[in-house]
Amino acid sequence: MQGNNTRKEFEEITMQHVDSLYNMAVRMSMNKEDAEDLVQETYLKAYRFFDTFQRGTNVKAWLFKILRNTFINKYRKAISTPNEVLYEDIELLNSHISPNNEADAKESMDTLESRIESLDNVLEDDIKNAIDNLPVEYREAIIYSDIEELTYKDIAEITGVPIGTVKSRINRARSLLKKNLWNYAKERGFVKRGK
Amino acid sequence: MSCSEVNKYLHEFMDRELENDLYHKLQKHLEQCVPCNRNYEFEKHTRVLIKSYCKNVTAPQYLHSRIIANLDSIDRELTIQSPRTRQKPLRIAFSPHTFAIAASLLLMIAGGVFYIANNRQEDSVSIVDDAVTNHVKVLNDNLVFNEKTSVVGDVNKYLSPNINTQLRKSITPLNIEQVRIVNDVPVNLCGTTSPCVVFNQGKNKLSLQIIRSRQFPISKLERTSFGPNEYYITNRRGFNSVIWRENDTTYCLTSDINTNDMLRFAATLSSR
Repeated sequence: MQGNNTRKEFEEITMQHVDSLYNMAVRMSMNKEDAEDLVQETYLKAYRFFDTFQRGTNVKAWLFKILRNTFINKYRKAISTPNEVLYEDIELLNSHISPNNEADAKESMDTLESRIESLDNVLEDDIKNAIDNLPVEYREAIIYSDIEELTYKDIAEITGVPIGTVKSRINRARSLLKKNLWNYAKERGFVKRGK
Repeated sequence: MSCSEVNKYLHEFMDRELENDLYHKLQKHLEQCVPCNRNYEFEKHTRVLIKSYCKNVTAPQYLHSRIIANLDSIDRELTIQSPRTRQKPLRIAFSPHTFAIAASLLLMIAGGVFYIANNRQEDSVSIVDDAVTNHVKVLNDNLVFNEKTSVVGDVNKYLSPNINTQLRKSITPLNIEQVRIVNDVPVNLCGTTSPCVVFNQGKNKLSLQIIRSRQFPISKLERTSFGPNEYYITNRRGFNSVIWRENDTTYCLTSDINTNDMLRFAATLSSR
């Protein structure tokens, strides 16, 4: 069944993604040992069901799918449930943004310079905390989009939600993340510390 | 394009998810508008920061070797499993008997080819393999987990009393029609032998299927007794299957938990 060629092909196209999967696994499970197990299991399943992989589609997305599913099955973490709530959330967010846009824009312009400066003061730990403190579905959205640079379509496929939801989730995640980072930077009072 | 529109589409622009037309308009605006450009640079900067942090997290080297070792063990497991399916017809074709009757030799080869090509479900390995694929598909929708569409919540009413002692309210027997009509209950028929009912057992999921093939060579599998009943156990693609017969029906329970736990669960399903 799994001949030499299959094995070779599998390794060729999947093994380059170990780091990406591992990073995601760490961010999801918050624990290195669990993350290692998750990645191992992902590769086991992927190889066993390699015949169900559609050639020509994004193999990284496929692996993320398996990882995500393994994670949920194993830890019973509920990701991606409150869709309606989320939509309302976004509506609210948008309606808030549009009328006050000018004011918002002005305010952000005032502080922008200092914000850019201040981000340089953010420590690695702050970044880690800022990501890890996001709700899990936002956390994964940020990783799929900003770090792995997957398309909205692939992300929708992985997470099993419509593209519209993906979009709003990513945007929401980014603004939350920025808020977190900004707060850390403020706490540091723009004082540079050694890295 | 106005600044507020730029604000609205900036992320999609950066994700390269905008249509060409809009993309170029936005790009042009960014080139000309200082505040928007600054905002854009800020966003870019944030992303670079996050990305560089996450890219610093790399898998330990031993994880690579463990994965490779895992793959090796699957290869070994599969080379042991797969020849078994094909050896039989071959052996028949080359046995001395076939030389004795030349005409039937041709017939048998033709028949054998037909058998393999069209009745894939008739050997135990393929049937269980289908069951496992069903299990994974139903649970994960081709490896995508989707709780809403794959797990049967209240399975009680779809099971007959005779395969179920724990779930007492059973009224109707498990069959394709029954399971299908219920629109909210997503029991899938994944292109093979039977619908697949999924049980939530603690944090594990087990799926139950009926093997409809009457010729299912159950006796070729490993036999074991548990309580008063006899079960057959087998493993495909890393999933365990526990198979048993009851009132002329063959049930196949599949999961990735260990066989003892599965036997225990199977015992609660089957009648006393």
